[in-house]
Amino acid sequence: MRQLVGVGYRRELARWIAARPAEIGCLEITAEHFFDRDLDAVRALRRDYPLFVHGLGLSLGTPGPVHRETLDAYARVVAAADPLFVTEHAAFTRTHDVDLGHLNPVAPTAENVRLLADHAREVMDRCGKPMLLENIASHLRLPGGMPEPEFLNRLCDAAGCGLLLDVTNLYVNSRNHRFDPAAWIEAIEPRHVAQLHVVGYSHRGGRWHDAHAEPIQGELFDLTRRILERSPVRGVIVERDENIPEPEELAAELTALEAIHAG
Amino acid sequence: MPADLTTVLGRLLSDPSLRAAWRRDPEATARRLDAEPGTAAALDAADLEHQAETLVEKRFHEVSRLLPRTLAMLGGGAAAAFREHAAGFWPEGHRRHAEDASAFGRVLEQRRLPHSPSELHRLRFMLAGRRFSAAFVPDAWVGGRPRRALQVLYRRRGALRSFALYFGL
Repeated sequence: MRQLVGVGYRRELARWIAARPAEIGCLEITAEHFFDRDLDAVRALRRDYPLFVHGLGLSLGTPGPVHRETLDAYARVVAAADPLFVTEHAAFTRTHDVDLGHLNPVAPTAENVRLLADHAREVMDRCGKPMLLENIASHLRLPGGMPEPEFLNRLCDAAGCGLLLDVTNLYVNSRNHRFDPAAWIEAIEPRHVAQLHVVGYSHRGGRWHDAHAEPIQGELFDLTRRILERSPVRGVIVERDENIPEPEELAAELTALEAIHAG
Repeated sequence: MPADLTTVLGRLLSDPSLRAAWRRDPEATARRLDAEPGTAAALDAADLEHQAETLVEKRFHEVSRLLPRTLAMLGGGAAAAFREHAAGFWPEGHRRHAEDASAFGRVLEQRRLPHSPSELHRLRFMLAGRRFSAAFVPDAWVGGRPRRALQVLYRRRGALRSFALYFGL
């Protein structure tokens, strides 16, 4: 199976993407960005590129049922996109009291493996597509007794899904929580890793952040190479949201990632 | 039955006064939140604060994309003004960033702090999903500079269009 290298679809990149440059082999669209839009835009992208549909707000780590309206809207985007995979985070954004709007960790417990797996299966059943769950960056380390790789391995096995490994999130966590990212990668079951996210990290205030605003640094290319050497990755997405550079700069990053894969 | 850790985290991350209480006395605050035994010892107050900071920074960032002129007018006070607003308001759903920006704009209007009325008019037009809206604003962009004008917003084939009627006032 050929590995695909591409970008996250952003309005600022729309003109470049529409020109179908050779460097872009696939696109990831964020489902929420299309909840209120005409889905013909998604169908048009599908004609030009293999797609991945990425979710931000399903909040699979929230106890109780998956938020019905959000799942309905997500499924409509998936139906229009006909993606290779649907993806979400192993995290929560919302509780019964409050919508925090961004990603937060769930405790690495057997109970949360069951909860996330149940929710992931519900999404897969609803969308009729295989699902990948993503590791998040977080300043919090929660109790639960399970190292994160073990938690993610068990989750993938229980849900019958794969892992969207965010290389930047892994690196950021490894710096903030002082662990070896290479050992983390070694502890992940290689067959689970089906897609990668990568974008440059930021460093300010003595902490590392996943601000999606910087070019990919050398350490991240090294980790990406390490993962690609051991896992059957289907897609690599450069996930730039801020300080979006000229297309030439992004194209160079995609070319470098493609070269890593080619060995 | 005690509250699960996710629910406890949601309360702590959304409420600065609860986090302050947690810093002072985690055991008592955990009991107040009906948290499971052991939660107080397991959650580091500094990490909790960093995570909460990150959530507000991400919100601020999204709002700054929606209200760039307003944020420029607020200058160095923008982040502090937003932080104050953000502590007591948590928007819901996939339009939360636009809802957040609109609510922040309301705070600025009420407090008579600098803001761009034309930008807020445009944002609220988008949020409301209306087909047409017109408002007199002091800062419609006409001829490369802000002017008092009638700002007209409408939709055509799903896309937002606008023009300004400027009377030379």
